[in-house]
Amino acid sequence: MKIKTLWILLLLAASLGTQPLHAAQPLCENFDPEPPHFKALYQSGKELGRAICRTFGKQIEAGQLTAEFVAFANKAGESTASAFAATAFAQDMQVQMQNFTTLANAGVDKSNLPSFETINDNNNLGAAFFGFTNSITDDSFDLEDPGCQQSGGASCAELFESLKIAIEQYKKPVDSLAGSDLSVKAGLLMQDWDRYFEIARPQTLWDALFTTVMEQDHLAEDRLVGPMDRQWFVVHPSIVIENISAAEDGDELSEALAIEWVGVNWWNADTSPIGYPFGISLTSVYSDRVEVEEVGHGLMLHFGNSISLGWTDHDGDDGWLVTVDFLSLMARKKQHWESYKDNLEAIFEAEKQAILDAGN
Amino acid sequence: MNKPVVVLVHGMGNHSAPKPSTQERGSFGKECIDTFNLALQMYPSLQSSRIEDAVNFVEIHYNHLFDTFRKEMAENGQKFEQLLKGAGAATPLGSVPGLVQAVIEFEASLDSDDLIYTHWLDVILYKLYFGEVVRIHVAKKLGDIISKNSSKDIHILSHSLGTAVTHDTLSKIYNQSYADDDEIADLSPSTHKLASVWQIANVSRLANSVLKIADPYRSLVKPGAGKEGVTSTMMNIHHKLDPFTLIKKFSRPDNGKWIPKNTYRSSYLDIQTSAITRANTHSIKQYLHDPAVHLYLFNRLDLFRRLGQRMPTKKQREDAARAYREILPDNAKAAVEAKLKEKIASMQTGNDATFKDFYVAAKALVGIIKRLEG
Repeated sequence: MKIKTLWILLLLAASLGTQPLHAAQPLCENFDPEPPHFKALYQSGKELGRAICRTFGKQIEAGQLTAEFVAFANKAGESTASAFAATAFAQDMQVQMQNFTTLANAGVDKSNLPSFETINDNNNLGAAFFGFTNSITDDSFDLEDPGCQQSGGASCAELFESLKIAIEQYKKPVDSLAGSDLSVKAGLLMQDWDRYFEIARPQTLWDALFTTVMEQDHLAEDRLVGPMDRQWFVVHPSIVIENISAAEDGDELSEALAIEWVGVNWWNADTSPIGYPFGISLTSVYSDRVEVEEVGHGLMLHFGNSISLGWTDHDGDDGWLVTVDFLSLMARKKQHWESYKDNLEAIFEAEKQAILDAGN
Repeated sequence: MNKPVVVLVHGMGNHSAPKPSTQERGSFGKECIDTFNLALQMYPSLQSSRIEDAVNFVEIHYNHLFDTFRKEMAENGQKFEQLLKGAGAATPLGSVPGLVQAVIEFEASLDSDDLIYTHWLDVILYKLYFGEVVRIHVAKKLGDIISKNSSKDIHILSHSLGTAVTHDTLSKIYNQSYADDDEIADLSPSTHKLASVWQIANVSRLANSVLKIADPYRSLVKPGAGKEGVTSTMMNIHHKLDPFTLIKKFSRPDNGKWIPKNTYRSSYLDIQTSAITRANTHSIKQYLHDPAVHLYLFNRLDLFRRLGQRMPTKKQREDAARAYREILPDNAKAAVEAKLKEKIASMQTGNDATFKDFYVAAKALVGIIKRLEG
């Protein structure tokens, strides 16, 4: 199924899911109630609004809907010419409407559908700037201009309120759909992050800081993004079981504290270079043993975001280690350390043999 | 007549979430609405009015995300700490470097209720990759709001850290190359232009100084015609003695470079307040209760007409401003002002200040509040 089709289906589902089915509106019927003035313009706006809305998710061909858009803009010009004819700002209103007609003549561009609005003047209370959001007037005008009552039959404030609603309908359904679309797409990104927090290796605050610094190009993209492909680790502690053959009899297998000084993990199979989550870290291991150096340095390899295998050098003695990531284990999988411990000997042997085989 | 929608975005610290099922407001929403209604009481003709009669308020709450991150990290840290301790002598915790012990202990303490964790850690977490989760959450909520209301009827009121969250989110979702047939979660600055953005105690520039999401001086989060700005109007509101707003202060002159001069005149307002009515000059109540602020917000909402009233007369506005300035007695005001000025004088402010200076400013403000209110 094509991604675009999936978006539309998700949008439809989201739209229906937000209200009971019996109250569900068709996607392109989301209009404001009819205003007391400019009723004919309002109806024309609805027709154009439906037509533009039906193109949502598709490119508009050159010339498609242009005639309807121009007719609507012309009607707005005619309606306002008569309603505001006796006002001091009649000329400015006509300039606004001419600009709208010019925009309409260029065709429907869904990334540039301005609203009509008023902005109350902060320096001249009782006055307002007005116009389309791509060309507000430079001067503000008195909202109590008696000319409105004279030519439009209502106060300027009432006429403006109705005019804003009447014009807005040509873009109202597509505006609403774009909001739903944003919500659905953001929801999908949120799912990606939820998955990251669910399956990636748990991080300390310092790991998160390091990851943010290393992945800032991704995170600072000029759009919302899902999780980064890589996690970075610094001074990350974990408990390991380490086997050192050179240790005293009975002391070969011991718990130890591993510190990943620096490491990286491709947590997502889809974006991992090997098609499986894996990572690598420079590691030191601290253990308490007789006859061997208690600190070893080496490497850890991480698989599937939960199991790590490693090798360390204890001043000439080899140490082989394995860890089921305790943070992941204890925080999420609700399993217990003891249940793993019994199987560790076998894992060590397999690991050691595999590395020896690889060396041969 | 369509009611305008005011979207409320809280700042750092603990804020309870709204509960739509019981129509219960979140703590930030309640604080804002109560303060607005308190402000209406300052004008004789509006004393029986309530702002909710003319305006719909919607809260975008993101505090719970920080709580989740903090608690999860703390739980992991505590379990790890317990494991190490439980392992006894076999685990050589005592012999590992102090740095590692510090990391483990710090992680284990992240669910503390101390101010450092409930406030400043929010700022730190926001600057890490967790911030993108917050921005996506806010974008999703904003999409829901736009789906039910025309974007031209939507006003966003943000406070403190919320100003950075709002700026960064809008900067990421508004795209001059918007198309509805692609997979990008975005909106058009022209078609989906907001009515207004009110940045109160604006820290968006400071918050952009670590992980650079978007420079507030260069982003589309500004008033502008067509595709030149995400909002029709914008207000930047700050108190002259709010330490948070003095570090990498958001300040745009009317020189035609940021936005055209005619747009600056019709659509942008920088409000610096100075009246002191409480020790916490950063408080949202301090800002919204002030006639020097709420009258402009009410004017943008066309609130008086929506409530069936006229704009208060010049004398009524002057009376309200005087009454507001006299909430605190002169000697108490002088004490707060002296303390704040002393602290601010010792702070590194301006463009060269850093997050450390922000932390120092925050600690100073909290210290003053505790001393003066306690």
